[in-house]
Amino acid sequence: MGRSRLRVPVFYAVLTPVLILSFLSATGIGSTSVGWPTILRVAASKLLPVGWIQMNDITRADTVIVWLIRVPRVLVAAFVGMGLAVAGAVMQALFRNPLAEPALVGTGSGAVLGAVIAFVTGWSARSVISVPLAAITGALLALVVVYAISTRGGVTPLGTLLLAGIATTSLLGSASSLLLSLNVANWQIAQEIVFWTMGGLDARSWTHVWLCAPFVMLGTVAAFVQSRDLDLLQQGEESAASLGVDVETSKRTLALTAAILTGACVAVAGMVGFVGLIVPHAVRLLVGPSNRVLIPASGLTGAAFLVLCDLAARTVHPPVEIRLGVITALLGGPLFIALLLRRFREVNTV
Amino acid sequence: MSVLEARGISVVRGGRRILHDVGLRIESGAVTALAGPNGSGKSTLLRALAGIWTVSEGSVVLDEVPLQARSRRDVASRIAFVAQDIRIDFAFTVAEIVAMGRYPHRGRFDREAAADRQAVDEAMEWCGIASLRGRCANTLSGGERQRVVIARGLAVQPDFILLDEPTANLDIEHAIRILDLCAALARAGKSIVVATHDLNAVARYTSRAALIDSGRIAYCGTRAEVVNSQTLEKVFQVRAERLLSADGSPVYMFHRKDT
Amino acid sequence: MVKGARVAPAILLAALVATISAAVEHFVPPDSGLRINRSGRSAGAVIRTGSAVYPRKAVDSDAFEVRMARPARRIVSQYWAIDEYVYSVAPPERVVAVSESAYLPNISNVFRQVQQYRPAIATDPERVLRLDPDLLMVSSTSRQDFCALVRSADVPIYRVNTTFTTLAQVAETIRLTGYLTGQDEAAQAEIARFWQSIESAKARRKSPAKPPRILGFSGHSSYGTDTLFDDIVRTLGGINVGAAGGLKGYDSINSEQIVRWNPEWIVAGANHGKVREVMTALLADPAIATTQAAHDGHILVVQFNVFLPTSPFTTLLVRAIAEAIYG
Repeated sequence: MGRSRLRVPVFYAVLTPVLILSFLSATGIGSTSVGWPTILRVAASKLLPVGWIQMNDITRADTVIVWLIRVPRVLVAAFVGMGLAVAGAVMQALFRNPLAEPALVGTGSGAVLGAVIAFVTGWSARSVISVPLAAITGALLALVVVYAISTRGGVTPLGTLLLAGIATTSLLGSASSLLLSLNVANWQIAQEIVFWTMGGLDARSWTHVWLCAPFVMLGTVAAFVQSRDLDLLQQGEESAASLGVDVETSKRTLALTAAILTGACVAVAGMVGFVGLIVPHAVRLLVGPSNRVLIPASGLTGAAFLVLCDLAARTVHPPVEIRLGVITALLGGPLFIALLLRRFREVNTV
Repeated sequence: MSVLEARGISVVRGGRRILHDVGLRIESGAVTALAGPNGSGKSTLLRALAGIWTVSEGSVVLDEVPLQARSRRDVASRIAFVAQDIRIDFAFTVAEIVAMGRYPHRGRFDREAAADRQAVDEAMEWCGIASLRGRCANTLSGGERQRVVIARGLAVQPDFILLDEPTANLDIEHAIRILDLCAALARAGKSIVVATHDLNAVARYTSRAALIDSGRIAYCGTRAEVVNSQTLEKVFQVRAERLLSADGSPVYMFHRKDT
Repeated sequence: MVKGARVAPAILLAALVATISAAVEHFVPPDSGLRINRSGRSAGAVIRTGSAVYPRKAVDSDAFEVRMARPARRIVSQYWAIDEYVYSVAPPERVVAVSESAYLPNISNVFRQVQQYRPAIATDPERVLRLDPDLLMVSSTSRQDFCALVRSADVPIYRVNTTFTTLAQVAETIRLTGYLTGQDEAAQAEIARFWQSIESAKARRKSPAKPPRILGFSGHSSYGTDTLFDDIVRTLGGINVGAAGGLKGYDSINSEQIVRWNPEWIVAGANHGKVREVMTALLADPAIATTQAAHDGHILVVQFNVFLPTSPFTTLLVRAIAEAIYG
């Protein structure tokens, strides 16, 4: 029963147009209509040297809408999708479990708490980089704690992992809500809490792009460089050690990588769950679990995935914007349950 | 001829001292068994020899150079450890898993070389899994998976292969196959060390053995020296009745001591 | 085993994070969207306006300096109270977008204008910016992200402190609206009308009448100190039983408090055509039924668009209360 896999070039041959199309449609669709030629000309005028593109008949409103509203939002969606997908793949190797991902394992809540602390202490108003940094720190601490609770001798039973994740998410999520309730003006508390726990990309600006993109690129490259260690850790810690992996250092570096990715994404988009579960799983089915292929493929697929999810969030029921986390949960929840059922039925269970 | 030697090693884990001043010499071309009751420290000794666990006192020496003084790659390419945990959660193919045995020989981003492919093919032949090469490992039976993991160890082309309870979870047919494989590898010049509690397997397949009791070597030497009624009684606290099978090799039946 | 490289990769990664952070911090402009509206924050940095000469400058409730190059021709209001200020001061054809509430006949005092001129509804950034506005007025309670986005588009956006606690504050905001929109004369005229209306309401009181004890009632909540209602009651020479009873701001009250305070007058609001219903429901409330106000039939129920405003249209409520109590 050798499951057939796509050859890697075929996969990318299909993914690349999907990615491009998702970018184009997400940029082209908004609450007001902007024609295609306008979009392309505005984008070109910003990217090419001044004067190359005729801008006479393009209104200022068009330029602002395309370049300050739509493009940043699509870019943030792409980078957040990439970051969360790669983070999921890394955590799945770290916990040796296909169900591990930032939201389920509690790392996302740690990032949220870090970001909220940066907000309520006023640090975020003084330093723009404080939110991603605090989120990364929070993610790392939460990951370390959950790992310490649920892993014994390099083995993480699934039940323990999920329970530890639930407990951590509840505790840290409540702490975040408490901090917000105590510090934010009354009428806004609920709104803030919803943003952090259900994610959202409304009013994303270029600042958010710059807060997220460099870290996501760093994390993705770091994960790719460690892809061999990821493969070996998935075989078991002792097997990895005997094949030359410095297991402790590897785990440390991978945890930091996952935290960087999760923190940067949560800092600009709130907690968007299940991306790290859906995307690596689907990509594995298509191109296999070898991380040298999986990491970049998941990254790009995650980008396209979240761009399309955000597009759905905006267009399913206009003018209401559905929370991004709701869309990903509606897609990821059933998958999660299906995977759980499969594991309970398998011969070599937990 | 390589020599892997534990010199007066002690291992402390979790605050407990598991091995006390253990000395053992492993030479090529033999199957050496590490046997002993549960908790006696045989798995610990195996891991210490493999360089996976660090020793608190003494040293493990490979060809006169302590493992600690060697690089991880060096140790990994010369000593292969086959763990008891063969659980595989991800859909790696058999070929991919066996190919991981070549990692100690390759740089981080080196492409697969002809030598690598050859080593992988040979390893799979040896273990009789060449026909399974495209199968996903998480769809295999226990016995097949065990052979895949051994093939991975073989692909390293090491001097020493250390196996931790390789027959523990297998049914008899598969267990015999594994043990035959170990014997064949030894005949081909590899050094095999097996930690096992299957005393009859020890009696039949190994040429050298060590009996471990409470973290110390109780008996050590050739199979005949180490595995007999007296030694087994002392270490395992049972009465060992020696019988002979049709081909003249000894088989032991165990009874409680007071009967 | 060589231990040399034990910590190196993680440290390298952390160092790269630090480097990126420093670079981003240095090059990326700050985003005021990263500030939250704090609770208890005196949502009133003092309103400061500059000289009357263009380009004009004003400081908003976020302490941002907003510049206007010329009188505003395309005004956007995003808050229901601000809708009313803007229509009181600026020519209606210059208002290109309003809040959703402006189109709700139940509470809107500018319904007629919006029906006639049909401005857009100012919800999401795209729609607002598509209108090419040259002045946005938003509430101090609006989301920071939205303000940051508009500011980055170089559109003047002014955050008005909409937590009104005194009539003087309302008057000042009328003047501010005039300043921002360039309609100073209309603003002055409106202010004059505003105070005159209040003065004539005050004049209805025959001194030395005993100060009437008044309760403002809104769905189990009342108006204590630091509310506009409180200021209205005091201006009219009454006693706000909520404030006297220790209530701070707009807060919930229970039946016991109503009974103990025993107001002589109760003022409440209702939807169009529901005045009678609300009156009956109030009288049916056992706690209210015990009060002096219920006994004397001194319950004033007015429509929401009279009861709710915190804008020039507040004079409607002032007059309604004065007429009811003093005749």
